Amino acid sequence: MLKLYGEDIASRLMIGTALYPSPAVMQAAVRASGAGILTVSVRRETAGGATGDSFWALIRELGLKILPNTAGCRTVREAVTTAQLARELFGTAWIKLEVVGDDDTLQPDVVALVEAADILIRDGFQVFPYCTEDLTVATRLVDAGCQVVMPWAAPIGSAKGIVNPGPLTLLRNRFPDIALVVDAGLGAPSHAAHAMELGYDAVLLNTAVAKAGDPVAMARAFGQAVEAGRAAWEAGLMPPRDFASPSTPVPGTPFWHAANS
Amino acid sequence: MNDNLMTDAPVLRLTVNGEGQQVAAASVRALLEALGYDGEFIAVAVNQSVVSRGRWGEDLLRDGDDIEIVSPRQGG
Repeated sequence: MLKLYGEDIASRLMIGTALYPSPAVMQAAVRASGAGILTVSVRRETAGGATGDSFWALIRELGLKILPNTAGCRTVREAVTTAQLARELFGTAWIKLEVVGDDDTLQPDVVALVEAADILIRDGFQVFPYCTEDLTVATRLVDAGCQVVMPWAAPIGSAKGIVNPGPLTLLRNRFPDIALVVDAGLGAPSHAAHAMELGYDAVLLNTAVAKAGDPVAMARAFGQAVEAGRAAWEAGLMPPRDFASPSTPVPGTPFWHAANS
Repeated sequence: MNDNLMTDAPVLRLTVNGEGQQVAAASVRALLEALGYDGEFIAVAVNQSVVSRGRWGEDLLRDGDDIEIVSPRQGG
């Protein structure tokens, strides 16, 4: 079973709560996905409003583990304070740590990320850092005390799938005891299965389900793909090769003569 | 607005969620009441430091403070 910071999680799918056509569809999609962890964020509340209360009531009905994020933060200080606000709000030491380094790609600022992770871990947080597939960055995050590392497949919301499988495989090989989660850039269930087939422990996605024609059906499809990909990894995939190898036995082929071979 | 709050505390010039406000409130609790924040799930930072709920009654606000009032929201 998936273990994150000592907690057993029944599903290897983590799902976001944003961008759905309605709150009811969000709830139905989350349930259909079978996800075990929900991501949420922290935003400014308006005076006289109770937007947060009504959203939080919807989330609590789902009864899942909550992973708050620091989405939109651009500096170490912003990310650290947002994480602390999230801990105050949600009563969890878990934080999906995001520090944006570029507006067009939403690429993580990995330098600020490592610094913020270090500060938060010293402050008692259990950090889920959203990073690139860079080996050195992942190493720094693990050195800082991250037990989970979450490299992107592709930029957030891009639906491109895994554009750089080689470095992701390298991370898996280098960190056999760290929980690795592909976070962001997945567009199709096959992309999620791909991540799981690389040996990743889980995937985190949002837009691909929320923006699907039928988010509930797509959520179910992603849940199935994650299970299929994990089962494939556990079964042991054969390595690819460059040349054909016949699957049907050659001896006994009609009209076959030894002299032809 | 609560008249007691008005008379007890001096008016402070604050930035609340990015907007300038003038509020007679010395504590976070008084500020939330004065501005009409009545949601249950709220967290507050003053000058980028979180003020935990247990300290909302303390008279810690100062003129010029930058305050963020946040609540749970959708996220990915």
